[in-house]
Amino acid sequence: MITAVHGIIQSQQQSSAYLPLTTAWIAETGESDVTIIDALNTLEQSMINNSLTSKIKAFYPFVGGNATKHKYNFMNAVDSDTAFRLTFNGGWTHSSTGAKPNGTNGWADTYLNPTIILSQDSVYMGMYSRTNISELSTDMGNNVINPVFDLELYLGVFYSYINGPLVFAGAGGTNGYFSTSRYGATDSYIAKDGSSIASTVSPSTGCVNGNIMLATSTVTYFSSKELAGSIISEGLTNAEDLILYNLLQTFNTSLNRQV
Amino acid sequence: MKQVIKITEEQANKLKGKLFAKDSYFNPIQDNDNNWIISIEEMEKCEFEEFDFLKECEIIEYKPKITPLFI
Repeated sequence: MITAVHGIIQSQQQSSAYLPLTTAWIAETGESDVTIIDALNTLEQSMINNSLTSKIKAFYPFVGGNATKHKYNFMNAVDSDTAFRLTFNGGWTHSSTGAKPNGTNGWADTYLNPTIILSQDSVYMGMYSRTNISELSTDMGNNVINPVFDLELYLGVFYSYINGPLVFAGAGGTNGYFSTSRYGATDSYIAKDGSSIASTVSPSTGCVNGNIMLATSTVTYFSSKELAGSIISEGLTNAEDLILYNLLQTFNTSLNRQV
Repeated sequence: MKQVIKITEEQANKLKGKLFAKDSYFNPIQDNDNNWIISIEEMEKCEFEEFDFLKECEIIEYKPKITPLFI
């Protein structure tokens, strides 16, 4: 009896110690794995410490090992399109290391339309890929409607339209954290592991008006790269991107799935 | 060589918007020869008897559809 009482007290104390987004995640997903919960809570604290929480609109951590847990947006863990909960289409493999599309017809709809949620001169996407492969793929964003906002690791080259001209550079392997950002009227860049690898100074031409997709940006050239984190945010500077990469690397290291 | 399941257009229309497992939807697409296809994963992970006909469909080599791309 005493043990049981202590168990309840301990559980209540533990739950109340978690931050709001982590607490909401636990409530919605039923997650009970302490390693995962602690990793999420640490990440949330780091986002708060670095003033990133209000900027990031969607973060898909792909923890829990199945489609039901992988579909949730950590920033708003609610099972609805308006909370940017994912819909998985086609073939995916869900495991403790992440969510892996099949490269044939697997993709996910975020329901996040930058025209509604972000703005023409402030957009950011990032994907943590665990797969090094040269393939005919587009990987994130929307390349169906002009102007385009997307992220492509196409035959080993990192291409991105960021509401404006194409920016590209050799990817140096397709495993790692890839990000693309426009953070002002003229400034945009693409980066790998928090370091800019190409940039432009050119005005935006509009804001993409379509949902951001994962594992494709075209609904044709599908990716087979395993995802261990995908992010959609307001535009981030190079310094903020590096901070975010380090947070994700710490997060994935704590889950023993870093690259 | 990647393999996929060839289905008819009628079957593709039947699958569109339907779940094959919890939180996972069928995604019939056309290959470069305009065959309607789904992936092996969708057939293998399908939890619903109404789609058992997929187990009898032909398996073919996957030929990705080449479409215009903004690169």
